[in-house]
This record gives sequence, C-alpha cells and structure tokens, in this order.
Amino acid sequence: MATSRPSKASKRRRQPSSDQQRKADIVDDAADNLVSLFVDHPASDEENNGDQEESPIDGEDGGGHEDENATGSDASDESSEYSDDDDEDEDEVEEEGSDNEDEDEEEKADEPVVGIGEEMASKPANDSALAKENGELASSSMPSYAVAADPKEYDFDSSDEEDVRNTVGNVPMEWYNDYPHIGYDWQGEKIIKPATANEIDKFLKRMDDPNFWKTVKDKLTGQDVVLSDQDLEIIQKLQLGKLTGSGEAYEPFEDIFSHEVMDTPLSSRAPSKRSFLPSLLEKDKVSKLVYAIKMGLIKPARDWKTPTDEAEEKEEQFYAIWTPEESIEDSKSARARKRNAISAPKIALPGHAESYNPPAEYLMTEKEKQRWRAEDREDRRLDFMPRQYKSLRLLPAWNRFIKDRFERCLDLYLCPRQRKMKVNVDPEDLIPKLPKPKDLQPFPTTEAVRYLGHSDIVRSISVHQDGQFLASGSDDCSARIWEVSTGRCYKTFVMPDPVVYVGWCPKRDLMLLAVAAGSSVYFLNPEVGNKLVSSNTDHLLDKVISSDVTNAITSFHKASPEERKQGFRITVRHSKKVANLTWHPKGDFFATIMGEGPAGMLIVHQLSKLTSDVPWKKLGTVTKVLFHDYVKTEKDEEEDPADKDPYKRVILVALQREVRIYNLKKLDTVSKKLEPNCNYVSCMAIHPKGDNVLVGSYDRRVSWFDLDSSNKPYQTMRHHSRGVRQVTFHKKYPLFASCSDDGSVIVSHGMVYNDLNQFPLIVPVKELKGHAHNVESGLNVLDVQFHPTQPWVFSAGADRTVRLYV
Amino acid sequence: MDEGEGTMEPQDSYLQIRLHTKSPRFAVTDIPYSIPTTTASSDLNLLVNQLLGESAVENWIPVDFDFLINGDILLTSVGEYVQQQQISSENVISIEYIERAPAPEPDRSLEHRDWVSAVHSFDDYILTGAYDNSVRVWNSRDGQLVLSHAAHTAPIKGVCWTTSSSFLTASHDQTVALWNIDEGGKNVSPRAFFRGHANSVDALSLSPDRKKFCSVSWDKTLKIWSLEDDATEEIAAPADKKFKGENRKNLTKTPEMTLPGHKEAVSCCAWTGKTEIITGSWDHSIRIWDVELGGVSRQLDSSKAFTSLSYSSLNRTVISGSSDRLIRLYDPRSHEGSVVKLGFLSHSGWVSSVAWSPNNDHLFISGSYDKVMKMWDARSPKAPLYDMAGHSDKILCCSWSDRNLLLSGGADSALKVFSAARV
Repeated sequence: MATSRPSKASKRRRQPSSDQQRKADIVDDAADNLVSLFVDHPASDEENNGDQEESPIDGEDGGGHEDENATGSDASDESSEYSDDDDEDEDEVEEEGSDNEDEDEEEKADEPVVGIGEEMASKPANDSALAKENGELASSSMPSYAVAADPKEYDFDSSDEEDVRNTVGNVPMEWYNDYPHIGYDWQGEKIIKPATANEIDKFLKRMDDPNFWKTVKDKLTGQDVVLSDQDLEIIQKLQLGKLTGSGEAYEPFEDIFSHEVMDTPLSSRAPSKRSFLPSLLEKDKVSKLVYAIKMGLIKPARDWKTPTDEAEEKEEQFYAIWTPEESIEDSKSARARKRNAISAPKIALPGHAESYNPPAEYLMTEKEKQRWRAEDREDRRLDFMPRQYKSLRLLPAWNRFIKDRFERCLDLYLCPRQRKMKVNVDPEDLIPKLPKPKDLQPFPTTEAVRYLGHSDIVRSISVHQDGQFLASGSDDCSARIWEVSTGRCYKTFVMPDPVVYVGWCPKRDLMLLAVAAGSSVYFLNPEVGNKLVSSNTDHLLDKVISSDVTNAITSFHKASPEERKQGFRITVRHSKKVANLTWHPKGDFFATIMGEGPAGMLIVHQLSKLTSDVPWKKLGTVTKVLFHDYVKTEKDEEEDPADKDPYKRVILVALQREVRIYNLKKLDTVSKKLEPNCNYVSCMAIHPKGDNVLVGSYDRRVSWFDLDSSNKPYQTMRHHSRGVRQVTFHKKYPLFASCSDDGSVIVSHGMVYNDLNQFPLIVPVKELKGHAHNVESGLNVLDVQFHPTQPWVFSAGADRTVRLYV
Repeated sequence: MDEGEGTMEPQDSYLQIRLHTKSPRFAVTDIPYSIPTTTASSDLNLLVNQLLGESAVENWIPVDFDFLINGDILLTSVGEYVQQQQISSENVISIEYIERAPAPEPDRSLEHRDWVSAVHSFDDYILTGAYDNSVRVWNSRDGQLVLSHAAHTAPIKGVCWTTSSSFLTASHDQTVALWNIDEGGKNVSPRAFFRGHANSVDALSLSPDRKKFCSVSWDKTLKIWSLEDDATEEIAAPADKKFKGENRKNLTKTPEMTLPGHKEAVSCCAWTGKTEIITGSWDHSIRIWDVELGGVSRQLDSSKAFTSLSYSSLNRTVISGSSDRLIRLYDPRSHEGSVVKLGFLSHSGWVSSVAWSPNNDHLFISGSYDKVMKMWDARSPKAPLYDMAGHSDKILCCSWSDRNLLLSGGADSALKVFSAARV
C-alpha cells in the first residue's frame, strides 16, 4: 500500500499540465528509440542516465498544482475535496516514509513506467479535465492530436516550462557520457545516471520481459519507459508518414450541387425570415395528431419505418453464405429438412486403373477387352479401358470429358435432395375389419331346388310358416303351391288376372293364402299340410262371412260352391287394380294398395269384420306397406301410460322418397320419418325385433335404418347394379337378402345385438346368381323370401322359375 | 417283378410291400415285394393275378381286385398314397386286396305315372309309392307291374313290405296304411289305418322283429305303432271323417307311443336295434331314441337338415343324406372324436336318399338331386366306386334290395333298376 499510493498520487498531480512542445519532444525521442529498437539496434549503454530524485520532487511540486487544478477546473467540489483528503494522506505518508523514499525510487526505477496510453485510459475523468483545460489550444492547432495527447509529461511536470527534471537543456547528451550524472535538476543537484545493467542482465531481461521490445530509454532521465500500444500506433503512423491523430485526413467531399435533378431545388436566395418561425399550420396539425394519439383515435404504427430504413433493411438481406448455419436458430421444419437432406453424390475417387501407367494387373487382356466391348455400357464394371503410356506427357486429352461432366451434372441434378418420409399405409388396413363370411355360416350358398311350372314371370312368393310349402304367384294368371323339399307343385290355382302378390296368412292356426290379382284379393285354402288347420280355417271363414258384404271402397264376396271346390273362400273386390298387399302379423288385418303410381291408395282391411278403411286420404305415392308389432320399451310406456297393450303396433308406409312410421293407435301423427335419400322406394323390411328397417330403392341402394338412432340410414349398401326389387329379413338367423333387376340375390349377415351400445354388424356374405334375364320385360329377380326355419332363401325370377338356395 | 429287378434301380423309388387277403381263395405267399413307387392298383392287380395264375392248378381266370392300405382303397399310385398319408417308406407296407365289387348293370326302367317317392323291395317284388297317391308292386324278374292301387289321398312318402303279402304306406294325407295283397295278387285290401300324425308322414321303418313300425312326420314327432292285430287298438275315428269310408272306421289304429322332441320336421327314421330308433330331422339333429324308456338316448348335431339316413346292421353305422352334397357317416356307439366319422363328397346336389347294402358291410348307394346314383365303398371316401346315371330328373328315393338290385326312383317318374353282383 505504502509503495503504490505515492505513485498514484503523483500521477494525478502531474496530469493537469500540457505542453505541445514537450509532447512533441517525448514522441520524437520515443520514436527515435523505437526506430532503433525495430531495426534491432541495441539500446546504448551510455544513454542509461537515470534521475532518481525525480519523483519526490514532482510530488512536492505537484501538490500545489493539484490545488490549482482543483480550483481551476470545473470538477465537482466533492471530487476536489476527495482529492484534498487524498493529498493530506499522501503528505503524511511522505513525511513518514521520507527515509524510505530512496528505496522506493529505486524500485520504481527498476520497474518500467507503465505506458502513457494505458495511464490515460485508466483516468478518463482526469482526461476530460485535461481536455477542458487545454481546450482552446488543442482544438485550435491540432484537435486530433490534442485528444490523443499523451499525458505522460504531466506526470513529470505541471508547468508550461520545459522538462524540469533535467535542466541541462537541449544539449547533446553525449556530453555527459563520461560523467556519473546526466544533468542537473531544477535545484541544481546532479541527476545521477541510473545503474546500468550488465549484458547478462539485459539478456535475461530480454528473455523474460515480454515488454522488452517496446521499452525505450529516456535520454534525459536515463530511465526505461515501456511504450503503450497507442504510442506504438503513433510511431507506426509517423513512420508511414501519416498523421498521428485518429481522424481522417481527407474526408470525402460532399458536393452540394450535382448533375442530378433534386426534389427540392437549392437556391442561392437567402431563406425568408418566416421560414425560421415555427409554422402555425403544422403546429395545429401536430397538436391534432397528438390529441388523436392521446385519445387513441389513431394508433402509431408499431414498426413505423421510413423508406430509408426499409432500404437499409433490404441491404441487410445479404448474408455470408459460408458462415456455419448453427448460428441461426432453426425452426422445427428447417431442422427436419436438414436432417433429411441427402448430400450430393460424390465422384468415385480415381483408382489405379485410372493411372496413365497402371500396374500390369489393371490392364485388360485381349479377352477382357473383347468382353468389355461386347458388354453394354451400363453393365461394364469400368467405364473406360485402362491404358498404359510411357510418360504423362504422352497422355492424350480425355475425349469423354464433356460427356463425363454432363453426366456428373445430371447426377447432381437428378439425385434426390431430400429423404422423403413416406407413410406406408397398407390399403388392406383401411378396410374395416369384418369377420370372414366363412365364420358367419350358415347362409345360403348354392342352388338346390328349382321350382318349375310357371309359364310366365313369377311376381311373388311366400313360404308357409311350417316351412313345408311355398306359394308363388305369376303373370300366367296362376298361383301355385310347391313342396319345398322336392320342388313338386302340389296345387295350381287359376286366377282371372296376373297375380301380383301371394301371401300366407301369418296366423299359425289358419291355412289361408291371400292372392292379389287384378282388382281383387282372393283368399284361398290350399288344403295342404295339417288337415285340422285346414278344416278349422274353413269353419272360421264360414263364421266370418255368411253373405256378401259391400263397403264404401271394397266388397267382400263369399265363394260359390264351385269356387270353393277350387280352393277359393273369400274375394275382396276393389275398384281399381290392387298393386300390393300386406298381412298384419296377427293375420286379421291386411292392407292393400289400390291403384298404381301417384293414384295409389292405402286401404286397411279387417278380415274378421269384413271392413275396409282408408286411414289417410292424401298420402302421395304409396309403394309398400308393412305392419309390425313389437314389445313396448320403457320409453313407449312413458309416452302412453294408459295403454296396457304390451305391444306397440306400428304401420310402416313407404312413400316415394320416404318411409313413414305411424303408431296404429295414433294414426294422425307420424311417429317417425325415415329418409333413405333415394328417388323411389321399392321395398322395405323390418327386423323381427323391430328396431331395424331395411329400405330398398330402384336407384340400386339398400339402406339399413336403426330406428333408435336416426332418421338417416345407418348404412347404405350399393351392391346391386340395378334397381332393388325386394329386401327381406330372416326370422331366426341374422340374415337379410336383397334381390335386384341385375339378376342377383345378395345375402348379407345382419347381426343386431341386444346391447344397445353395439351397432349392428352388416357383412355381405354371398351373391347368388342364376336367374336368367327376361329380355322382354327387363326384369330379373322379383321376389326373395327366407325359409322360416332353415337358412335357405327362395327367389322368384322373371325366367319363370322359383329357386331355392341352401 | 421280383426283388432282383428292384435292386437294379435306385432304392428310393421303390417300396417294400406285403400282400395279403382275407379270402383264402385268393391267398398268395406272404413274402415282401419291392415295387416301383409309381405302381397303381391296376399294376398290383396284374401282379396278384400273375401270382395266383402261377400257383393255380387250372387255368386262372383273372379277377379284379381293389387294394387297401390301412383300410383305404388305393386310388392313386402307391407312392403318392404313401406321400399323402406320410407313411414311412422304410417299412414294409401291408396291402390288403379284396375282390372288386363288379359294376352294377342297368337292368330295366319301370315307368310310373308320377314322381316315384318311395321304394322298397322284398324278394322279387318291388313296392313303389308315387306322387299320384298310388302304390305299385312290380316283379323285378320280368319288370311287370303286378298291381297298382290308389292307396291315399295325397302323395305317398314311404313304403315298406311287412310280409311278402302285406305292406305299409305313409302319405302326405297324415296317415299310414297297412295293406294286404289278396290271394290272387291283383287286389289290395286295407288292414289298418294308422292315424295320429298331424301333418304329412314322411318316412316309416319296420322294427327288426316285424311286430312294430315307427313313422316320422312333419309334425315333429316320432310315433311307434304296433302291427299286431289287436282289436283293442281300434277306437273311434278322429274328427276328420272326410278321408275314410264307412268300412274303414274300425280299421283305424292309434300310436303305441308318441315321441316328441325334435324341433323341426322329422324326415327319416330307422330301427337300429330291437328297442332303438334313429331319426333325422330338419332341426339339424339326429336323435337316437330308446323305445322302452320313451326318450332320447343320444343326440348328434349337424349343421344341415337331414333328408335320409340308413343304418347297417352289419357294421352298425349310420350314413345320412342332408340338404347339402355331403354324405356323412356316423357311429352311434362312438363317443370319441368327431361326430361325423367320414364324409363322402362327390354329388353335386342334395343327397335325397342313402341305403346300405344289406349283405356287404362296406358298400352303400346314394341318390341325389343331381340325377346320379352312386355306389360307394365306406373305405374310400374320396371317390365313389360307380356312378349310375339314367335319371332325367331328381332322384327322390333309392334302395338296395336283398336280391342285390339297386333301385332308384325319381322325379322323372321312373324307377331305374340296376343289378349288382354279389361280392
């Protein structure tokens, strides 16, 4: 502490004084020394004259200066006070350490004085003070120099005089070579030369001290001075003949007048006085804008840029393409792109075969040459033939150079740049997992029995509940009863008109067949099967109808004894052609559609009471009707708690484009409306459980409706290539079938689960083909019905046959 | 054809066989032979005939043999068979040879007025039932129609001789009738009407002791009737009087036992023992009934409706025809392994009728809706022995008479008779 503080204080004390002359001298000397140093001229021993008493002298002297400086400068009081305190301390220290002063000085002499520039850099505050003090002088004569002026001299002297450490003046110092001193200080005392180091010490110093090369000797004091980087720079500039200041010597000339036409002309006319006054108009405008901004009426653009800014930004778009890209923060996609990038293919390195003088084993034999020539270019292992030349200079020009270059370019151009991440999706996986048809057996697969006998298109078939007999109705004006197992025609009933519909009465204890032909519905007792049932049926019918009954729409006629022999029992005459008929599952009610197309009228009949009723007067085109009873759900009971009937009785009416479901108790309101999204509904069937409905249409679609879920189809099947004629459910097996004019019967697995959360499983399992196309009518398969107990399906075709598939 | 020849060729294409037979008439010395793997049964036939010819005292008349390896008739070459069955070719293969059943000869065609639905023969007389409600008796020797009788009011579904002069008919009109042929052999008189079925009677079968018979019907029941002439059985007629004359009133008989249980129509039945009946039904099951206990003793389930079955008292197995192309062989006594012991697949339509040979425990015939009757050997399930074509429509019934006549009636209103030589 004691050793370092005086030096610090002394430095401060010496600062506030500048002399141009002094500066120049110092620099000149330093430059001389440096030059000699750079040319590797060893520093002369003679010049090593030291001034050991220099510091204490300066110190005492500096104290007064400091005060002056403090008062003279505009530095704050606080700082001056501080400096005063500092001085007092210093004085004390100096007084105390007066005995040690010599030693201190010696140490200092040994240690090279720290560089001038560094000193300056460490004391910016003092610097500024100095700049202010010498403001006029510096700015007037050499502004750039003044700023970079070395304050080193102030360490030694604060006065305007010349170097006062050595008062010998500007005399050649060689004169003192023979003396132990180098000159005289301002008190007349001899300045003793500093002890000179011998050659070994110098060498060691040169080796050890990294600053040795820039250490110079002050001729006047004989002390070593280490030049700072700034000093060196100045010296270098001087050597090159440049100005030593930091500023540019020749600034670019800006011409006010140019050949270019300017937006605002410059004129030599003096600006008017008014132009110096602030514009009231602008002020008004600005105040308005300020107000608007304050009130939030307009929002200042966040990144408001002047056109010049933009131009600058544009310029910034240039970037060094060779800088490593790691420095740039990558987006995820950019990183992926980098990861997937494929580097350009490399040219194979040349091998021995490419040599102008390849080893003998690389040269081709005659056989190999022949083979090489015979091979296709693509198949060749080497695309050239290795040749041997005695010397490199005999090597001819490479005749395939252009081609090779071109191919290389092609390689580069055509090589994939990126590894593309492809998702390999097996199309099989996209198909929903359906069980194999094999696992869904039994279902009909092959034709087993053909029922031959009809002489025209078979329009309708119906299987008796017992499964022993099959009824069919045909355009040849007959209805036939067949034995299912053998294909034997048991009975033939001749009708006056082509038969459009046959249907067994669903009641088990009745042997009654309804046949719709022309404008009448005939009820027959075919007298096949159980005789008791047949006779019971006759008894019952005799009770029901004793004489003819005529209604508003229809008339019920009892069969004459002659007709009775033929099997007829009751005839229901309509006013128009009967297009269709449907039994109620109880076998008492049945519905007919009278008339065709838009004139179709739905009539509901009751056989036991011989009544006919038209439930809806205006309904539109009725294409099919279906009755269904199903066990009531809780929801249904909530709706109508008064109704004790365990069944909910519904009637499904297929109109041209929709299927309406009515509750038979409330015929005036539609309880549900199904929209199969087709142009013409041709047929429908209801699942035995009653929750699902199939609707077929002439536009080739079969739609499966889940009545619990939606009015829209749960699934639409477009397996047929022509209009669908009939759809039907199997009563026991989870099967349904559809037939179409394309000649096919498609049997599908349609599993309905008791679990309400599980959707029905629909799998088409078999397409049954066999019916021949009827060219005249364009019809093919017209009706399809399942066997009531076996997984067999019957189809009636326009080829006059009925077929059984098992 | 001896061992010396065999060593000339590479060893792997030869097989060691040993020939044996059960009939002493055709026995050859029991030594192993080495034969090429390509040897077919015709080559083996030559070999056996040559061996027999060498050892025969007189001139040997060649006989056709069938060759059995492990009970299967050899249809391919020996090598292929060994490869298929993965029998080690290192061992000596034991081949049994049997005299081949000779091809049945078409005998004659008996023309009917309508579809022939049932046939049964006894001695020289063939009984047929047809869809024209008539029953006919034919002499099989000269093919003459012995008698014809309109026995029912609906198609006849089953016929059966009870004695040489009386027979049973089952019909769609829900009755079974027992008829007596009068002394002259030209007239038929009813002896009994068995009423009780509520639907068409589809089949009937006579018990082995000929004292009872059973009938099965579309009404899902099996009924057992007595043939004994007990007056006590006769009771008042049931409700429908329409179908019987006054003189038939006292001829009505009621069932001795009614066995309900099938869920669907019962289509075929056969006695398998003194008190055991086997029935096949459209509910996809075969049931074995114990008559004394009056219940089902065993049930064999299938996946198809049965159309016919036949029981052989010689090998005690049942073959069945069903609503598919497959003939199935069941062993009612076996409780192990799969229910169906063998499947015979060659027909292309429903198998409507099957019948075991009454005197050969391996042969049976089958008639099908594909218009062909086939003769099978139970040991060769892959292919039938013979196809007997001739029908122009579905075959509805077939029978193998004890006189080795193969009878088949069909929807072409003809009964085709083939004569098979006794093996």
